[in-house]
Amino acid sequence: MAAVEWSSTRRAFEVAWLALVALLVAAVLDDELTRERTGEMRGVLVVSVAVDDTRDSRSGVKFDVNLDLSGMVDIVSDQNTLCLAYKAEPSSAASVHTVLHSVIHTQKERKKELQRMVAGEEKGLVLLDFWVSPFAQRCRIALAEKGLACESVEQELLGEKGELLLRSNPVHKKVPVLLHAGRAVCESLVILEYIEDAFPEVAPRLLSADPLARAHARFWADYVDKTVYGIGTRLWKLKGEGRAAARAEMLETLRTLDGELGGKAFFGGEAFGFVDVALIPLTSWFYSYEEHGGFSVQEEFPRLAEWARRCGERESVAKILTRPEDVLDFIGLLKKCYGIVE
Amino acid sequence: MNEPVKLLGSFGSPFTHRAEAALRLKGVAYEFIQEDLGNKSELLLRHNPVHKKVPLLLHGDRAVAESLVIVEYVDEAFQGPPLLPSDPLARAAARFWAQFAVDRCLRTLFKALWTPDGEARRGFVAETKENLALMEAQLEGRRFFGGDEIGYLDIAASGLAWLTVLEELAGVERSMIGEEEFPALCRWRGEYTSHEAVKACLPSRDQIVAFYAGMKERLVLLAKSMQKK
Repeated sequence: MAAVEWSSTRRAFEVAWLALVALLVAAVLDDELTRERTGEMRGVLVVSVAVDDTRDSRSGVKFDVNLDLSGMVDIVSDQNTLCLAYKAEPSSAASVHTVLHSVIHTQKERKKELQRMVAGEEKGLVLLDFWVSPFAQRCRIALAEKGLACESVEQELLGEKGELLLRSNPVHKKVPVLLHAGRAVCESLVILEYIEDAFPEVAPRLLSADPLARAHARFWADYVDKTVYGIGTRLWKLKGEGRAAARAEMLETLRTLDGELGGKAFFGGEAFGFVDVALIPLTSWFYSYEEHGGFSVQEEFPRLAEWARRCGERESVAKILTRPEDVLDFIGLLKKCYGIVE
Repeated sequence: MNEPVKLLGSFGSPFTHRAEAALRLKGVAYEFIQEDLGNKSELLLRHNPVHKKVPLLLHGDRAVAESLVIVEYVDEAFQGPPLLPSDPLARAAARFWAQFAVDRCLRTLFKALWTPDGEARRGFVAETKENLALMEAQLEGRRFFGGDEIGYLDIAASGLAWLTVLEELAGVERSMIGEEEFPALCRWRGEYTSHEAVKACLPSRDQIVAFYAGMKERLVLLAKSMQKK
């Protein structure tokens, strides 16, 4: 649970808000959320968290975060969302988001509906998800691009894994898993191909109809899978020689990708496609790789940086990608879990 | 499409075999170009600059690399019996299990074969067997993973078909795929290696031995470097 810090110069007004938040957080955790408020939200930063009732697993990880309430001007909540509005950027908005996203559970109606979808009684798409997973984001982007509604269910990954995840992906026990009318599809690239196959009439197509173009797309998506994330993990996990080797491999990989992109708008040519979807969520991790490797993607590979910005203009990508700062925070959390000290 | 088809490969390599099996099953005429892996040709390096590996398919002026990407390309570019099923879920399952076969069976098996005796090796053997049990279950009493006919998953897992030869080379006493533990896989192996189309491109025992013979030291080193991955 979040520990709240006091500032000795805090005004009574803020003390009242503090008490209110504590009450609200406690109320939400106890499934007794009844309070509702509306208010002016213009010109403020809003940290909002979707609140859902998937409280069937416990997080084994303690989030050592301080809820920074200075500058908070309003709080709005209903059965679905808890919104904290800040007048000025709090020093740890990302941390607030991390805590709330991982700790708060509620809403019985939504759980029932999800259970029906998962059992195949309702024809929905459900994605077993994890907020920072670039692999899950591939699937969400593809679905969003095609306007296919999908219920995202956040999974507990750092602690004990939930029963639904273990049942849907017994082999790997990982996200993402796509549940379509109750049937599970695992592995992000397999899911992307499934979406193309299962919804052939839905535009846009992310894979061309031409066999050669499809082969190239598969080759490059496979290349991305074999390189970026694995090398990146070694980059932040290791030190000394190990990190230096990872850095060299990362630069080599990015150089190859930059070369393949060339002067094209997207990897497949004119249109946003399969390889773009496979790679774009990993660009949220570039900032962390840059920090740990001491290099700049913008400087070394301007075409790739430009491509990332171009993709970022798409509504789906803008909405779904994790902020690079939040990824760095998350890596910091993982380091604590692994006992890695910088 | 009547453009010439060439396959750059190395006979005896399980990756090259996948590409050949796909071409044979689709009934595609092709020219096999044996690549000297110690002295790679300009053709290979030009058309597969990223990985510089075989197999490499050249269809007219088109180049396709990576064995399973080649299998899918052959399935889509040429007429003939389909290698992947038409049902989206069945396709997803074939792709999922192919990835599993490659990453969790063949790769672990490789480590189990070429790691010197000891605790690490026993660990890899145990892991391989655990994963093979899942493949065994996937067969569900059918002739092939693809059903009555060879399909994408059979081709992906085909490296398991000549495991006994490799085990001989590596000096293994008891085969990992024993009749008692894996009756379905043993039966599958028999079916796969005696299939008309596949037989024509299946390397003989001598060819497999020849392919791996000069490599033993390198394979041991490779297995060692893979231990932590």
